[in-house]
Amino acid sequence: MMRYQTAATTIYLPVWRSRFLIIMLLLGLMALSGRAIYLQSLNKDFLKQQGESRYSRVVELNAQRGKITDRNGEILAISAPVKSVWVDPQQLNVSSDQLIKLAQLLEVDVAEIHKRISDKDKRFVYLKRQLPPETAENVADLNIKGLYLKREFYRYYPTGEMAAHVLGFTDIDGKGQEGIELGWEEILTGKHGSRRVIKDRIGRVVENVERIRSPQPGQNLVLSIDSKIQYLAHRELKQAVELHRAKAGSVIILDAQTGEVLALANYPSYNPNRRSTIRKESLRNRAFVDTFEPGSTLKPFAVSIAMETGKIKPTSLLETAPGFLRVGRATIRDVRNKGALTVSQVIQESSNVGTAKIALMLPPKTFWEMLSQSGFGTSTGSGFPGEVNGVLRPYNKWKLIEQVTMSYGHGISVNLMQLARAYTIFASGGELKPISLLKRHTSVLGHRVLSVETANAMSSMLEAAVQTKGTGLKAQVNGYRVAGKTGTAHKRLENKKGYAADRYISTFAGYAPVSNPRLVVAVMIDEPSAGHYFGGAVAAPLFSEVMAAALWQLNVPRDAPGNIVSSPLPAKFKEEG
Amino acid sequence: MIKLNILLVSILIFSGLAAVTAQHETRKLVISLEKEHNLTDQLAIERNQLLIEQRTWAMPGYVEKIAKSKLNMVAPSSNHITVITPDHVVN
Repeated sequence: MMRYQTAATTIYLPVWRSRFLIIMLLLGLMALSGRAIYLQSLNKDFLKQQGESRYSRVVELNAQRGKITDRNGEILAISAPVKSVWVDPQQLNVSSDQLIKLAQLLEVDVAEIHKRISDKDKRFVYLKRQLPPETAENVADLNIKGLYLKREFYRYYPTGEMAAHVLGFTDIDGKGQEGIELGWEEILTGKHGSRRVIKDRIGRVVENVERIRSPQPGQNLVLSIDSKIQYLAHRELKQAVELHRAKAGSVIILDAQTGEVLALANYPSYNPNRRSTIRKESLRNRAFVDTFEPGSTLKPFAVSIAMETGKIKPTSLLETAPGFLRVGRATIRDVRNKGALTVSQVIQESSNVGTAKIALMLPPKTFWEMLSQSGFGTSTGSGFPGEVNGVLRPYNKWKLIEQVTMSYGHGISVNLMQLARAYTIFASGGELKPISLLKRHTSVLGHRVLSVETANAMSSMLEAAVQTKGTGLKAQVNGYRVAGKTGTAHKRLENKKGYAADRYISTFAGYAPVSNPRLVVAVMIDEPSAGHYFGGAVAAPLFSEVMAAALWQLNVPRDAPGNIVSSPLPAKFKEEG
Repeated sequence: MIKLNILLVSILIFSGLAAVTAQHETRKLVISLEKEHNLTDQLAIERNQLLIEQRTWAMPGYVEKIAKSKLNMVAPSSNHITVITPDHVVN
């Protein structure tokens, strides 16, 4: 101790001692910072895992996708929880015995599992997605380290193929891919939330620390569809398409008063519950995304605007002899020479020549305005994804022949929904009703296109068109007054030049009961090839069956109890009974 | 002075124990709350599954098939239907 008190000893302390001390301190510091760097960046997972396993966790709060129901609350699409199996190849520790059992449970080849788990760079590999809960439990019972279950939702459609085109479907991650699921994606999907919690040794949550984001479950959607009517429409359509060996067909049923879509069926259809088997071809909702030339179903529009502007009256006489009419270089033909017809008979017997003569009385602008206001060439506002608006060319580019052909539905293309909607004009006394795929709680005001008088006059003509001498005789329904119009159009060739001689689109659009219309039905059969192809022979009987079934289902009072026709519907049941 | 210290120390010990107990109780309650939440989840899931099941059995196509094949039911033809209108009732 004494030595330190003298200046001499202090001076004579060897220099290496202090240097040694400093070096040792620096080495210690380097060792510590080296270790810190090692833990913080090179081997960070270790500490992170240790910390997390002891302390706080962020827990995902799953938000379920909203349900889709029909107008009566029957479920059309619902999410059911399923488990997906995933592994962390770095942590995975599995015996060959366990692996075989796992492969059996998952119904996957052992080799396939081997392949997936051998990539040690990955931290997340799905082995199998969307297992039923029972199987998932068995998988969990194998107690394999590094194998985890994740909760996911599987979208299930109880109605199968009958409403497939309206609903669409979701992909495996729950995103809408088609139809309503796609169009109303925003409303249906919820937002996942998360919260931070503290878990104890055995994984129980012991403390809620904070809610990072509240989950927002998807909203439910109530459609305007009535699933029973939808079923009937699908059943009848399927039969008709098969009977006539057609390529495809569509049926739309609208509520004539509210514009709600009660049923929308397409055939061929697909089963949305077996997504791997879906063929691209059958995916299209033809009623919205396919346009066609409507043929004679468009005649009432030319005739009613001519009546509205006072050019003709229902009783005005038109000479259709000799059964054809030359316009420029083209010739417009009737199926036969029908002689002198009243305007009413022109509609009833579907005379092209008569309609052409009426169309020639109209200024192009007036005719165009009528078609445009009836909703042709513009969106139906349904919100259905991929809807195609069809083509209505501007009137100042019309040639004379176009104005004429358009009057009987050629040179204009529409989708079936536009056609169905346009017929609400005649069913509702002159108002075009806005359509809706969602249930409406209040009745809506339409857009007035025709005066009540003209609409009612046209309604009587359309009623005559399904009576004796009319082309739509087979559209009649037992006990009800029905009105409607047939249509038969040659299909356009694929190269858009001219028409196919032997391929047709057969349509019918109409409504019932005429005394107080409740339903508007439009049907379309694409390429019937079993002999018949006229709208009156192919589409009208289908219309009749669909209309009869829907009126029956809705308990609509009969307005013509005496009108008993041998409707194909009861006859069919008789055969089977 | 000593008395005051003893008092303060004992209050300190007491409040410390109380805090620990409260924490423990909270955790127990949180655990049971979690359990109930999980149960709610489970029940909601079960409900959805039952709804699906119910809908599947109630499909019009299935009902129609059963009605026709098992119960031999037929839809009445038009001459087997009598419509009763309000006039009938008056008469």
